[in-house]
Amino acid sequence: MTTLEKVSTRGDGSTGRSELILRDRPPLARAVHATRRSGLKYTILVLALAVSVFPFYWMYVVASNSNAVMSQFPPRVVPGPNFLTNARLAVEGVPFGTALLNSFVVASAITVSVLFFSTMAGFAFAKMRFRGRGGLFTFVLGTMLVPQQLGLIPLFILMGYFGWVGDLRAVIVPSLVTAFGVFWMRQVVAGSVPDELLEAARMDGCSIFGIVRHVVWPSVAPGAAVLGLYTFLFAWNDFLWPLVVLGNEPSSHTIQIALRTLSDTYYVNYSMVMAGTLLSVVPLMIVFVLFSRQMVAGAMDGALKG
Amino acid sequence: MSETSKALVGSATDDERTQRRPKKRRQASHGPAHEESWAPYLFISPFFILFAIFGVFTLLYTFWVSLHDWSLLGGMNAFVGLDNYTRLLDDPRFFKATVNTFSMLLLSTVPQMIMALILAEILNDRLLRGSHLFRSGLLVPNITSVVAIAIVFQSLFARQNGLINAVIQLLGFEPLNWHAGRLSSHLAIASMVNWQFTGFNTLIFLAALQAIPLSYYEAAQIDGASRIQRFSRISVPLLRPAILFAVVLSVIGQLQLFAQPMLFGAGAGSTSGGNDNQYLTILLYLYGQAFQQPFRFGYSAAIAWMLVLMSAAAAALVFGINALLDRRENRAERRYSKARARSQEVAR
Amino acid sequence: MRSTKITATLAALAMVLAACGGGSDDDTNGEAAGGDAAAETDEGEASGEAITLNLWTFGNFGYDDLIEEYEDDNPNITIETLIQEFDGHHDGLVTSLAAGSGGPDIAAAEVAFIGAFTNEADSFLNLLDYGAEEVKDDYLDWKWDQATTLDGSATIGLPTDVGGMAICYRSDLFEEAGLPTDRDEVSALWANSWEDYIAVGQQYKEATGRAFIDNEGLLWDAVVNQSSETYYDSDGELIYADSEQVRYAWDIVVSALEADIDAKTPAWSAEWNAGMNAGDFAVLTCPAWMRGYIEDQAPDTTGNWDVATVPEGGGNWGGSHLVIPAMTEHPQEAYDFMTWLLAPEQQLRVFEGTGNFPSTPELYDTPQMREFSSEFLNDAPLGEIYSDNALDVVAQNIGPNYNLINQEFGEALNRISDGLESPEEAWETALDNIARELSF
Repeated sequence: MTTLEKVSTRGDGSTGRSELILRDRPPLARAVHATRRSGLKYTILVLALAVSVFPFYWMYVVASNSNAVMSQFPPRVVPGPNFLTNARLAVEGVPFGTALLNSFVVASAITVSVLFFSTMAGFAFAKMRFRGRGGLFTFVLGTMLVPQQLGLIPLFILMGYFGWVGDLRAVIVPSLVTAFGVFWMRQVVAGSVPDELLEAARMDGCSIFGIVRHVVWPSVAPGAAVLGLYTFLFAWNDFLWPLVVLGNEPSSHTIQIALRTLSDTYYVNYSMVMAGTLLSVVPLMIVFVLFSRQMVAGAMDGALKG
Repeated sequence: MSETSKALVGSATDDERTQRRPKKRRQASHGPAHEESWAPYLFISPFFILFAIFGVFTLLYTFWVSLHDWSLLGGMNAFVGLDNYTRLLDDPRFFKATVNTFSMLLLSTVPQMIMALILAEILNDRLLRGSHLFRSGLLVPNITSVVAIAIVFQSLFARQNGLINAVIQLLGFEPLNWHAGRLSSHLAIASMVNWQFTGFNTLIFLAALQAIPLSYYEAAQIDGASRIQRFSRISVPLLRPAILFAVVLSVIGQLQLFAQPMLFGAGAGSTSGGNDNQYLTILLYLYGQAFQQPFRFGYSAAIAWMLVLMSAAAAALVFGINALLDRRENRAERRYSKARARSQEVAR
Repeated sequence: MRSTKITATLAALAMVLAACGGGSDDDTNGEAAGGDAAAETDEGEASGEAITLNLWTFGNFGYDDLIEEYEDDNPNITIETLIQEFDGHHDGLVTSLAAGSGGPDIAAAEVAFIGAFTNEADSFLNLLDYGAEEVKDDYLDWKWDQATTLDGSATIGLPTDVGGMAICYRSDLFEEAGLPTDRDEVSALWANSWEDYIAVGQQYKEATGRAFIDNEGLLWDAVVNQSSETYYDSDGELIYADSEQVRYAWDIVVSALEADIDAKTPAWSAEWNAGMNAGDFAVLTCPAWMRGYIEDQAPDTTGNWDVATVPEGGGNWGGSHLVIPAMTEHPQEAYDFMTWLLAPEQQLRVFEGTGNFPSTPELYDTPQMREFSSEFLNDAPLGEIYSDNALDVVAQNIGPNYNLINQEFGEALNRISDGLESPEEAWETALDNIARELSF
C-alpha cells in the first residue's frame, strides 16, 4: 500500500513534504503510453528547432546566391555557389576585422562590467539590510521603462561635452550597469546564496568583500552565465546608439554599423549584406557555445537535485 | 540553472521567510561587531551614479524639450507648455500608433508565453534525448541582429515573391498582401518577435520548472491527475513568478518596438509604418517626428514621455493582476488549511 | 579592509576603458570635428598645418580616386571619408547638426533634404561668403537654386550630380504588344503628354494582359516634379493644395490606377527587382543612376532595354549637393576642396567612373558626354538624352517640408492602389494629414 500526504500548492516547499512510493504499473502499458506521448513531444521539438534555424538557412541561401538570382520568382530555396564571393565583397567593403574587434571589445567590456556591478548591487538588494532598500529597488526597476530612443539627442550632446563622440567609451560607459542586470542578479543571489554560508563566513571574520568573493561569486555562477550571455548578445546587436555616436569615425565602427555601410547608391546588395551578417555571427556562436556549456551544466544540476 | 531556477520560483517567498524569523537571528546573520553599514550603499552606487549622469540628464532634458516648439535643425523656438501633450491626445496618428503597439504586444506576448510554457514542459524531462541540442537550438534566434532578421522576414512575407505566400498558394489559398492589411502586418511583425524570443522565454520557464521537486508530480500522478492537469495545476501556478518576470520584460520590450516595424516596410527611411500607418508603433512615430521633416523635436519628446507613462501603467497593470491572483490563491489556501485542520481534529 | 581588491578591479576596468579610448586615437591621422589637439589649427592658415577634413557621403559618389589625387597635391591635408547608406547618413548628419558637434567638414545632402537644410541656412556655411559666386555659372541654375535661400542671400551647397529623367522600356515586350520599338518612335508616342503615356499603357495591357508601369509612387514623382510650382511657390508659400501640377499629377496617377496598368511593386523591394527580371512591368522611370541598378538586379535582361525621353520633358529624380556644416573648424580648406571636387573636370571623371550625371552643363557638349551610351540599354545615347533633359528642368522651390508632403501624397496613392480608399477620399485624407502635420 502506498501512503502519501496532501501537498501544499504553494511553491516554497516549506509546508510539508510528501513521501511516496511509486505504484507499480504494468510495464507494457507504461511503455506504449510513453512512446505515443514522446512521438508528439519530439515532433513539436523538432518543429520548434526547424523554425528557429530556418531563417539562418534562408540567410545562407541569399548569401550564397547573387542578387539577381534572388530577385526571381519563385524564390530560390537552395544555396548557390557565391558565398565566398559575397563574403569577400563584404569583408573588403568595410573594415570588417576592425569592426569585429570593436564589437568584441564593446560587448566584452559591457558584459564584464555589468556582471561585476550587478552582482554587487544584486547582493546588496538581496541580502543586506539598509534604509530605503525597497524604494531604491523599485526605482531601479522603474528605470527599465525608459526607452533608448528617448535619449539619443541628449546623450549625444553629453558625449560631445565629454569629447567622446566617435570614441568607443561613448557606447560602453552608459551601459556599465543595467537595471535588468541588477534585477536579475538580485533574484539569483536571493535564490542561490544560502544565508547559512553567509553567517558562517561572517563568523569566520570575513570582510564584506571577502564574502562577496568567496561566497557570492561561486554560488551565482550559472545564473550569472545566463546574464552574461544575454548582456553580450544585447551589446553586440545594439545598432542605433552606436550608429548615432560612432557613425562618423570609421575606425570605431562596430560590426552592426559596418554591415549597414555595405551598400551602393540608393540600394542594397542583399547577398553581400547577408554574407557579411553570417560572418559576423561566427564569433557570437563561439561565445554562445562557451556560455551554453555553463548553462547546461547548471540545468543538469537542477535536474539531478529535483 | 538550479540556483536561478530556485530564484525564479522561490524568490517571492524568500523575503517572507526571513521576515518570519525573530529579530535576534536576523541581526546575527549579518554579523555583529564589524558590520560595514556603508557597504550596501557602495554596492548599489555604480548604478545610481551612472543613471544620475546619463539617465537623469536625458529624462530632464527630454522633458524640457517637450515643453517647447523645438525644431531639430533650427533649435528652440517657443515655450508652449503642455501644448505638445494636448495635441498628442488629439492626434489620430498617435492614437493609431498606440492601438498598433498594443495589438502587436498582445499578438506576440500571449503566443510566446503559451509556446514557451509548452516547450519548457516538454524539455523538462530528464530522459529526453538530444535535450542539449534542442535547448541550444532554441537560443539560436537570439544570436543575430534585428536588422538581418527584419530583412529576412520582409522577404519571406513579400506579396509576390515571398516564401510564405508561395506556400499558401501551394496549399491552394489566395496569397495575402501582408503589408497592406492592419492585422496581417501585425501578425507578420509579431511572428518576427515571437521567432526571436520564444526560445529565450522557454529557457526561463525551463529553469523555473527544474526547481519544482519531482515528488509533486509523482504524487499527483498517483492521485490520478492527467498530464494536462499536472501541467495546469502544478507547473503553471508554481511558475507564476517566472511568468510574471517574462511577461513584464515582454511588455516593456514590445512597447518599445521600433526596429522591426521600421525595417518591415520596403524602401528608404520607412518611418510611416505602412501607407495607412497600419503598423506604425509609438516609438517609430517618435523617431519619424524627430528625424524626418519637419524635425519636430519638441513633439517627439512629448511622445517619449507619454511612452514612459504608458509603460509605467502597463507594468503596474501586470503587477496588479499578479497581486490579485496572489490574493485569490491565499484565500483558497487559507480555506483549504482550515478545512484540513478541522478534519484532522475530527479524526483525533 | 579588502578595499584594495575593489580599487584594483576598478583600476583594471579604468585601464580597459582608457585602452579603448586610446585605441581609436592611434589609428587615424586625426579626429572628427569634436574638438581635439591635432585638429586645433587656426582657420586662417591654409597650408603648412596638417589638417584632416571629414567627408560624409552615402551610396556611391565615386570620389575615392579624386580624394587620393587631392591628398597627393596637398600633402598637408588628409581626407577621411565615411560612407553610409542613405538613411544612416542623413540621420547622422541631422543628429550632429542638432547637437552642434560631432559633424563632418563636408557632407552630401540629397534633394529630399536640401530643402529643409536651405531653410535652416544658419547651420551651414554660406558659400557666397567664400567666393562661390565665381563658380555659380559652372552649374545648372535650377540645381544651384535648390541650395540657395529664397532671398538669394545664402547658398549653402554646391551641386554634385543630377538624377535626370528618361523612360527605360523593354523593347522586347513592346514588340510583343505590337508597339513600336525604335526609341525615337517610342518617345514620339508620348512626347506631348502623360495622358498619351497612360494610353500606351492601356494598349499594352490589352495586348499582353500584363502591367505597364511598376508602381504609382514613381509615376507621381516623375510627373509632379516637372513644374516650378509644386508644393511651394517661389516666395516660399505653401501651395500644394491648389497647385495645378499637383492636381494634374494626381489625376494622371489615378487614371493609371483605374486603367489597372500598375504592377504594384513597391520601389526598392524584392518584388520590384524580381519584376525587372520577369518583365512584370514594361517601363521604368530612369534617372542616370538607374542603369547601374537594373544591370545589377537583372543582368540577364541585357539588350532588352532601351531608353526614350520622358513625356512633357524635364523632371528630375535624385541628385545631391555637398554642404559644409557651420561647426566645421576648417571652413576655408573645406571650401577649397569642395570646389575642386565638384569642378567640371572632376565631375566628368566621376561620370566616367560611376555614371553619376554631372550638374555642370559645359560638359554636355563634350564628345565623352555626347557619345556616352550603354550596351545594356541597347546602345541608347544616354549622354544626349540626359543632358537634354537636364537643361530642360525648371527651377523649383523645394521647400522645408517637401519630403513630408510628397510622402503623404505617395501614401495616399498607395492606399487607392491597395483598395483602402477611393481617389476622392484619399485626396481629402492626404490634404488633411498634411494640414495637420504642418499646423504646428
